[in-house]
Amino acid sequence: MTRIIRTAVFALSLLLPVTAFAAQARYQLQVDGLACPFCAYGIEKQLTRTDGVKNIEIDINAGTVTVTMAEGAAMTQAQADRIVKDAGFTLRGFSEVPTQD
Amino acid sequence: MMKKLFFSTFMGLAATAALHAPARAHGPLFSPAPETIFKGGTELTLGLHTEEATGTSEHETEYDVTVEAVYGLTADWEAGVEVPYTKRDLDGGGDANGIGDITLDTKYQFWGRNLPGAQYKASALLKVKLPTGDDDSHRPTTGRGSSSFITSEQ
Repeated sequence: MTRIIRTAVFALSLLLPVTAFAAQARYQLQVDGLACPFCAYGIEKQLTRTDGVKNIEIDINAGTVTVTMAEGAAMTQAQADRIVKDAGFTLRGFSEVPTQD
Repeated sequence: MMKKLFFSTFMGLAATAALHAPARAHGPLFSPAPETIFKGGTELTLGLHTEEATGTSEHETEYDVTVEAVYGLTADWEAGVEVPYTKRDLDGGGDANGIGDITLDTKYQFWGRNLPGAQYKASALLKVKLPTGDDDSHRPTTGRGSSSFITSEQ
């Protein structure tokens, strides 16, 4: 019985790091200047050209862009700043948000 | 024959451009806007213009199909080219068609301020119209036969 429990605990301990690596990083970018759907189009184009970006959600009214990265990929604030600037906007805030499960 | 082929090709390209042309931002429809396209962005626009003029002894009709391509060099600086295909009919004076005067333009946004949900921008625009159209004076022409410059601040 003890052996079964030990094996089960060991198996679970192996699964934990796998779950941690499988998580996809999500970031919320607070963008100034987002005023119309064309603005959203421009910033979306810039983000889709970025390696590792899997999904983009843009809320024009809130001025936020939520970016979900592919597994193992990450985004830095400097990278986000460059992307937003190339699209013609200003990055006001950058934060990592909990993944949606 | 060559002109017919050229016209068909041009119309085909124009139709392709129309299918892929995104609506330009929040600028005015009939005057230049200060917005510039994003870095690396491209925009194709198809324009159609017709004009009729009646003088004391003659009547003239002009049709222009224009394809405009714009490229974003940076987020603040864009360059473009405008190629018109012109057809002019002059009652009693023949007709002409072909490439009109090609326009090269560039726009630079020298000031901008982004706020939550709003943008304030100021740009300078330079347009150069080249004398690429036919300016044969014995029939209706498709070009002016001279260069012209347009500068503007928005």
